[in-house]
Amino acid sequence: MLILLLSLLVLLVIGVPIAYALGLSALAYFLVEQPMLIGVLPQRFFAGINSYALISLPLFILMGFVMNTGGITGRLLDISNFFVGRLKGGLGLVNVVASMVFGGISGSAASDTASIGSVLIPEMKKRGYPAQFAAGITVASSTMGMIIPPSVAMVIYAIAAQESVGQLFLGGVIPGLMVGIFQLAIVWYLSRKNDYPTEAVPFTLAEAWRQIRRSAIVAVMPLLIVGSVVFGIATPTETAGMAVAYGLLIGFLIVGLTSLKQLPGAMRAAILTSAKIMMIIAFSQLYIWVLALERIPDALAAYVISLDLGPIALMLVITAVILVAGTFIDVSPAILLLTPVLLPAAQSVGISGVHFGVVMVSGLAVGACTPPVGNCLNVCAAIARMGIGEIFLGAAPFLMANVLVLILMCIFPQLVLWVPSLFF
Amino acid sequence: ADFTFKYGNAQPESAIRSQSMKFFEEELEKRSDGRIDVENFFGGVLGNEREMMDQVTTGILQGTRGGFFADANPAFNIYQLPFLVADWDEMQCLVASGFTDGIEQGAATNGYHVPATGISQGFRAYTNNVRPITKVEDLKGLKIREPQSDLMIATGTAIGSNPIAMPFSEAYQAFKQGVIDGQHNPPQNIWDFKIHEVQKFMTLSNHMTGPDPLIVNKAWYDGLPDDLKQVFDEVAVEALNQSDDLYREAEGKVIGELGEYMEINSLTPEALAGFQEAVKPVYQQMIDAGHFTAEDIDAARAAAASCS
Amino acid sequence: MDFLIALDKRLTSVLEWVLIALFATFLVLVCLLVVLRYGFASSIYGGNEFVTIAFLFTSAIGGAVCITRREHIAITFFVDMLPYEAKKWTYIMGLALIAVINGAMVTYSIGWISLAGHNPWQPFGWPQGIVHAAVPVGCGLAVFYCCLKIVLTAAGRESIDVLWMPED
Ligand code: NA
Ligand code: NA
Repeated sequence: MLILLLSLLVLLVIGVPIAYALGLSALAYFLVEQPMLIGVLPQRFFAGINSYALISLPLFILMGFVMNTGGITGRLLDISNFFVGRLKGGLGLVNVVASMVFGGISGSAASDTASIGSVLIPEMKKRGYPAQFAAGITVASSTMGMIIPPSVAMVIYAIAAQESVGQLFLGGVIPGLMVGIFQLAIVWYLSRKNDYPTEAVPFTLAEAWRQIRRSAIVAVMPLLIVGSVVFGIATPTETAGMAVAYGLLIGFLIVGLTSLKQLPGAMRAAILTSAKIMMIIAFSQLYIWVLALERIPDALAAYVISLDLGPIALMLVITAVILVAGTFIDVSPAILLLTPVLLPAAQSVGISGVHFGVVMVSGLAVGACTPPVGNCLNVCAAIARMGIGEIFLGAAPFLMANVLVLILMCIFPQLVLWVPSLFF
Repeated sequence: ADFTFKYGNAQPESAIRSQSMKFFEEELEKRSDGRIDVENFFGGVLGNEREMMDQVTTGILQGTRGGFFADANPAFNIYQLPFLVADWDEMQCLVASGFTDGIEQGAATNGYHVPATGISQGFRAYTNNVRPITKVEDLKGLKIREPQSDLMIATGTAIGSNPIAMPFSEAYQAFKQGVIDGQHNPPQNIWDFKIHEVQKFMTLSNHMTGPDPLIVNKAWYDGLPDDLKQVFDEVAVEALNQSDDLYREAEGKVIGELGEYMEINSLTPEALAGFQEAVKPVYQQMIDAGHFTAEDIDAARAAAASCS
Repeated sequence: MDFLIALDKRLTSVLEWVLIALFATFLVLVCLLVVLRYGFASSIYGGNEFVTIAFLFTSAIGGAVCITRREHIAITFFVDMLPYEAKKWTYIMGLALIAVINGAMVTYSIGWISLAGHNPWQPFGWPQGIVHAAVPVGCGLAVFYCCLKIVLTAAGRESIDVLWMPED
């Protein structure tokens, strides 16, 4: 049993990709402890990739790429700027608001960082904001891309935990909006303190109406996606497929034929992104099978019950574990590794799988913005040409909002569960 | 222990199928003087039903119970034929009969040992939101959820309903939105999935049930000494008898509770005859598929009636 | 060496077009199923199963392509601190280990498919071994790519500045 954990640790440290490190440590376990059962290896790999529900993964990723064309991001930034740009620290607020809206059409935090950051970071620097502030708020606000539905991370969790995608999507709505509102407050406070500039955008009703009309075609997207999944109009997989089609249509209407020419490249990128996550899912199935054979989750659950912590204290402990794990591991592998181990323990004290999942995804979103391993930081570092440590220091004040929301979610499960309870 | 019997099923530990296997574990370990160690894995932790069946095939697991019994012997499909038997008594008689012994022995050629066969969860009942089903014509045009099964879809078509294949887990939501009108399942399933909350009428049509064989890797079983083989088979028969009794008992109880949510009716003899007439084409379709013959069906019915 | 580099490029390009074609197939099928259901109250028999098959081959082959594209998710934080030669040989050892696990998958899939492969795949009734073949195909390609990369890296023809790309 020890061999399973130690070999995984060594393999990860020497830089073996997480997918294969999981497979190799399971292989080591079988060779040493259960040579008779080694034939299960290819079966579990196959079980991992044989999933209709997971087809939504490349589709949601492709949707993000398709919606990420310049024209669409531009319209979202325009409307955000029109409504909040004239306030103190205008572009900082625009950054957060745009991420709230963009979060609704993108399934991942990193694509949010890339699309909004590449426009706003240079613009904010030009207007006299410190580079660290500009990069920091971009990274921190992009966490909403994972929390506000749709969310690729929620889909992966839904499959790992066998929970409803629709309930998880809805569970992320209030926490996601809360993160945005708290971050707006922090931006506003820092902007007053440091006297950051405002944008000159005269307000007329006609212009307001024009902005709403221009953005509506994009902004209805989250409602269509969530509505389709929640009301069972189509399965999450079908919904993702239709969303790609809708995204292509909008892209075509806004930027014309160029959007279609980029399609094969976007498809290639989406399929490779999905394939590397699928490999982690496939090989983690070997690892999880060994854990089940050794009855590790049962033992952990029994241990947690013996501690007699109560749901709130346990949720806070789990959140701490998630935050620590998230600094070292990327989002999808962390979900796949932690869910089968921690969820039975959480359920043993009556915590629901939906509550647990939204807390986990929100916690890992913070991990995506913390060194040493954080994909939002990596993306931002490439855009802003800054070091990841520097960006993290800029993001830290805003990530306080995320941590505060996490703690509130642990204490008040209704923040997560209330919206799903209205529909399910 | 000299031998380890690793067993898995998809249902949680609290389910009747799992409970009867806990009985199997205790009894077999006791009566083999600890020479056979039974390790039960419930809740599908080692894989879904399809995957566990494959694990039995390749000797990773030694036993399973689930929906893929046709891999052991396609003739097991015969137990699912609509209106094959009249009631619990007949079905319990059938699974204990020489006819069933023959099908169990047929599994040997495919590499499986089947020491005993039970009844899967009991008999199916229709529920819907449109009207009470008092005769087969009442099902005409109703959109009924079916599992992805050729036999079930053929039956749904034969009785005049409009069968819609969808996962059972999505049925609850589909009822709420009125996408489908009804479904059919054993009463315990209806209760477990809270279908009664979103349905108005239930008809105890008892139109279908299914086999629940304990499927064992034959190579493992052949490795047991003769005395242990005998103990193993005896305990298996007792465990599946217990399983059938528990299902039967629970069915009566759960129908009572369902009555507080839905209007429940049974079929009159004339209505039953109408149903039996309507499903006749299904029998021919299944015979044409080659799993069993018309003679097999007659033999099964004779075996089912042999106890009374 | 130049031949191996050309082989890597050509094979990867062919496989990527196969992936795009498979992806396009299930994207169109998924949308078509919705349109058929709401527009024409009908369906394609086994449509979802076909989509699943296309997807699992895409994942298995894509996983191999991700090796040559260095797309896999790894923690390179510690290895990046090593001096050049040590980093290079650690990377080569990692590739060898990836070849080992994928080789094991190919080896053990033979017994699995020969035993369980003849059971029917619902609802087509095909032997499920046809679908299981995704495992040896994908993992076999992965072994091939590992060997190719080991030779090229050892010969100094591969940059080791960025070992594996982060998740995006
Ligand atoms: Na999102
Ligand atoms: Na991190």
